[in-house]
Amino acid sequence: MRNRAKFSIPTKYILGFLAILCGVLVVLSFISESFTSTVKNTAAKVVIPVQRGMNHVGLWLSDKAELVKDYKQLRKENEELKEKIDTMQAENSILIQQQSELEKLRELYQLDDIYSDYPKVAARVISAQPDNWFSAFTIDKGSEDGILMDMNVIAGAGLVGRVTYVGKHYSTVTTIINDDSNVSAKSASSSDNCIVNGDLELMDQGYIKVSNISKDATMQEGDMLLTSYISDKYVPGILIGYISNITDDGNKLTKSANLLPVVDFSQLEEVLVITQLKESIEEETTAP
Amino acid sequence: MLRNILRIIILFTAFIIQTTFHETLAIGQIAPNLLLILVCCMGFISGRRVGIYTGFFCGLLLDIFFGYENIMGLSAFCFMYLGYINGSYHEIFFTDDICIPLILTTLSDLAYNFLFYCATFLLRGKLDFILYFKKIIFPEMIYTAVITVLLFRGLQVIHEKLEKYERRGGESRVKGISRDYT
Repeated sequence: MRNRAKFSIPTKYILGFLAILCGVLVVLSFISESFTSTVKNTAAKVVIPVQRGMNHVGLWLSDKAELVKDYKQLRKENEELKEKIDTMQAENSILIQQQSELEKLRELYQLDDIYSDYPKVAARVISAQPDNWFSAFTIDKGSEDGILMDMNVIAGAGLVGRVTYVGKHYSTVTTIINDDSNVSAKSASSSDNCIVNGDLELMDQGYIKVSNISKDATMQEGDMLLTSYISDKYVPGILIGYISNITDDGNKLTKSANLLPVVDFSQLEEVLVITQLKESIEEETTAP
Repeated sequence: MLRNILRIIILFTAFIIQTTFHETLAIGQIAPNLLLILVCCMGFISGRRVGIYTGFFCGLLLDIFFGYENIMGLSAFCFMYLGYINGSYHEIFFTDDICIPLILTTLSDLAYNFLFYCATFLLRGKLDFILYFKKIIFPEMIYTAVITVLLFRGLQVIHEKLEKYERRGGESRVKGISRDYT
């Protein structure tokens, strides 16, 4: 190495050349989608399997950590859960009765239950956005597993975000707490429309911002917010979270509030991808 | 050659740890910027050229997987210049003292985060810089500085070991290589 260093190119030129290369890359990523996807998929061939492996290591470690947990605590938890199951079973039987009633009524009104059951695919979270500004993560399923751009992602009962990039064997999901994501939402009880904006200011308190609530809205604290019909990316009827802390805006026309999301974004391990796109739902319902 | 392979392995491992164990590393949702620490320290230990290459490689990896709006090349550009600037101090200041790389890395983190804020938040009309400084940039700087102390020592040990190895085993090899050239 040292022998050859005498003939090497000055660092200035290397720096200049690489800077121009960066510029070219920026321009190329605007112009040509196929170029970026080729680069990304090539890099993914090396990185994704390693990330998957690391993820297994992490899961194994947390599994072992769980085992050490106090047995007494587990037993206590078990008893509590059993009690919960009893009460829930009672509630469930009532709900089943109501469900059949609902179906009958739906038939009477000829309503399609378009949002009850979306087809879903489970995916594992394999890596997270490395900086502290934004909140996105990658999942281990991509275009070859049938994932498409803009598919909605949920975890447990609530909305997590949507797919913003699809590679061959991985895809990137941008969460709704991300500072630049917006979701059109409506209140479950009063059907008032509003916009849910991710906000970095509130992120560490565990809240998301809700804005553009009409001043006449009857929305109350504790109301459920669902994704609305208006949204062109999100399928309707998915739970986002619960309203709290409603305040009047200075313009006297709108109100804003905080939203407590149902999903714990720091503990995501597995998510469900809804494989139905909003556009396809619209086509189905508008078709004669 | 051995050095370069080691560098790539270290950077790649850092990238994997940064992306997969982000939540585990984070204290109060703030994680240190491992890649930035490595680029700055490697640049400081080995000079400009290495700084440029490691910076470009790291930035490109970040861009490929988590680029803002899927644009490639922006972080690569920033990291490359950070590596270059840190590398420039290699000839002036290089000592065993940890103070200078510590200050350099912390300032680099500040600069990188400031640029990041300008590119992604300021341009969207989020003007409250003080708030973001308090909430993200400053905690990250402190955490990054703490990790730098550990990582810089580690890198230095590897650097010294390699130098010894090259001095010992290198002489016979260098003779062999130069014979090939002539």
